[in-house]
Amino acid sequence: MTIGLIAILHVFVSHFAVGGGLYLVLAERKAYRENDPAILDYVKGHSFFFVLVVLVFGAVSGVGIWWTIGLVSPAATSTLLRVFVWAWAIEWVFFAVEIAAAFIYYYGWDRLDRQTHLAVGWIYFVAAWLSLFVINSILTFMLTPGRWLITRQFFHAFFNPTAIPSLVIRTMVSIALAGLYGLVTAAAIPERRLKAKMVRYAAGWLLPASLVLPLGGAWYISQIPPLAREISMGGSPAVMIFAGLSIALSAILFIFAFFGPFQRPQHFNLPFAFMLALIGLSVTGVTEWVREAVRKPYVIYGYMYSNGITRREQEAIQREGALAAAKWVTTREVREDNHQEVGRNLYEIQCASCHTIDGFNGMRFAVKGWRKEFIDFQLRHLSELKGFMPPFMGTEAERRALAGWLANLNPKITPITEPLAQRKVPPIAMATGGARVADR
Amino acid sequence: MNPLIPNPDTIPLPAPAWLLEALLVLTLFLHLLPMSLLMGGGTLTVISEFLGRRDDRHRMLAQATARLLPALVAFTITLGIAPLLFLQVVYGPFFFSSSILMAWPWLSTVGMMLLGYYGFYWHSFQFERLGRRAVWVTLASTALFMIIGLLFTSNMVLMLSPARWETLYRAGRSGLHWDLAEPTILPRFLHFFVASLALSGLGIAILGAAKAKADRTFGAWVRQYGLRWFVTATWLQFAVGLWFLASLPPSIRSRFLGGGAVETGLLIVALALAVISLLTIQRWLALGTATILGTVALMVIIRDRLRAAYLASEFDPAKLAVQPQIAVFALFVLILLCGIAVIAWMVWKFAVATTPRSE
Repeated sequence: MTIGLIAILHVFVSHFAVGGGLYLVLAERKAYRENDPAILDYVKGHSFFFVLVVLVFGAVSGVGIWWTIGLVSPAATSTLLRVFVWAWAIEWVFFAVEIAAAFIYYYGWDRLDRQTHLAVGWIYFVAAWLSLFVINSILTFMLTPGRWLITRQFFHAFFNPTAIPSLVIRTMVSIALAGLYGLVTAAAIPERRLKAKMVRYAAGWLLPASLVLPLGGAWYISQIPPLAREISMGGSPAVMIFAGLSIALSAILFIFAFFGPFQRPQHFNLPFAFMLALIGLSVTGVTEWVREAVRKPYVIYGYMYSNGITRREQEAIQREGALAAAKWVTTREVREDNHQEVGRNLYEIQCASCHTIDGFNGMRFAVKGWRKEFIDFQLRHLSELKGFMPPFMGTEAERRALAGWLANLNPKITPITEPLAQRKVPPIAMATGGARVADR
Repeated sequence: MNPLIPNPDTIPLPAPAWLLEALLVLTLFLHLLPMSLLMGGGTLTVISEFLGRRDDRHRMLAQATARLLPALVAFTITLGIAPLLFLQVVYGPFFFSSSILMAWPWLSTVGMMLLGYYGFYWHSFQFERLGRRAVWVTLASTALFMIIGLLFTSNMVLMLSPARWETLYRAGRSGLHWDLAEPTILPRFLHFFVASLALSGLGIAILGAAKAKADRTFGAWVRQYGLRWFVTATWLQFAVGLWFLASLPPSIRSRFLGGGAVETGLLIVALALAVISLLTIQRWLALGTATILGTVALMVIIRDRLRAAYLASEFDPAKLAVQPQIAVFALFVLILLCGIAVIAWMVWKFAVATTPRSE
């Protein structure tokens, strides 16, 4: 949950960080070409907003994602670090250049000559885009590790099947988000002529994305694993609804942007701008959620399950037991009297990276009303019954213990054999409660 | 071997461990410079803002240093990413375990970073409007960064103490631990903090030397004031360092006191450089600065040796499987050099543009 929240905000801001850089330099160049100092003042104001949002929030939320994935999926994080350490290091260089350029761009207004100032702006944009280029490949690797699964070669991992289509999509999204943010700052311009001009200019930034995104999306979907495609197109209702929402909201956003600010910039206002930005944020949110959801039951497709267990470890765990293979457990054997403890340990090893007990994806809710035998049946056929979940890995005794622990999450149910009249009913509810029983 | 230590990742290291560790040490050194200037500079800014209510020189100094704080946060974060990356690659099983034990306190550093960062920006852009309240903003932001520092120290110590893990794990599994009971944490943190005061004093002295070109008396005063901090804090550091050394487990401590030739030698040279710096800095600022930076660099290496000593019985990075990615590494070096060149070009252009032309 935390990871999702930080991630969505970070994705929103960091894509803007890329596209916004291009927006700044092109708007600055427009000001010089048209010799319009009013546009220049607007760009200066926009760059202040840009620094506060991007440099601070973008950078810190990126750190936040890193912290969170290390806590939630240390095994996957470790793998991504080892496969890609030099890619991360290269990305770090681009990031450092990006930050330095952003500072010099911002503090360089009125100090640097025009040529140099524009050059610094271009450096910013190129470095930011290159940073996206690197991160994008690492992200797509998780869903489509491609030939790396066999060769374990860095370049096979980096140029994996969805890397390029995803790069096209993310670049377009960056440009569109730059337009959205531009709309917010442009809508706040008090002077009417300039406002209309800049609103129309910013709205124009949304148009290329509306044309390219459907094509990029189709290309991307053609490259993802069949199971992932199935999940997003009906296999799992929730994922399908979100995927549909992503497309529908994008369409609404582009239609609004075209007929609103692009066609009638003079009527555009700040609340409208915020509403468009909010839709943009929602699109980001649902799309990233779908991207994460279709990867299940893996965190690195075909290599490591969502709970951090690799397929290579799977067999040994099946044979020797999950407790024997695990490190952080309070007990290592299943006895008659410790089923509860074993179940809790197994939950922490194999379930807790996606499920909490009472909160997000809560287990208590998931097994509500299920008896131990039914839970055990579910666990035995987990990956067949729920395609997006990894199989249960462990010995039979361990599985029974987990089933027992899960069944115990249910409230104690009064046995049905007890006569109705003897059941404890709260005195105040007596009359209505009794009436309802009588109705039946 | 402690059974709680996770198995190292089955994916081999993409470079020999010594190379990754060398990069870890180098980038940590680069991170510690802005980090020290941030933590110490924030503290000294708060002091000067208070004193500035009655003393104009302090008011002017605080204004000058406060303006630098947002950029220092950016440098600290940016340069902090690389050492943490290399740390996780080599020492992942240790770092992830300790981080998970203290998950919520550890995660809270992100929020504090954000608040502290915005605080410095707020101070920097609204200085006039904030008036007398400005100092409280600096104080709050600096305090947040100090707590972050203390959490980092705690995690770096906890990752070296697998023996503590089991106790904490049995005491609670919700990731709420902030284990300050370990006796080395406080002196270790103070060691960093006092060093940051010294380095920030030195930074202020250099700022004063630069200001002296425009305003001689003010510049000379700033230089003297900064040096006073540097000298006092560095002397104090000998005491804090001793405390830190005394707090280490005896078997580890002895390596630095004659037991290990390399460790002891490094410590002696580092201390000698610090003494040279103290003796020369009043007269030759550049020499004093160079020698103390030498001390800092050696201390980072010593810190790395200390970690090795802690983990000696559990873990030897040199034994990890390696499958070097030479082409990508070469690409990284190339891009790094280009990146440094591009940053240098931008900074040079900026410096030329902002230096007042000679009157």
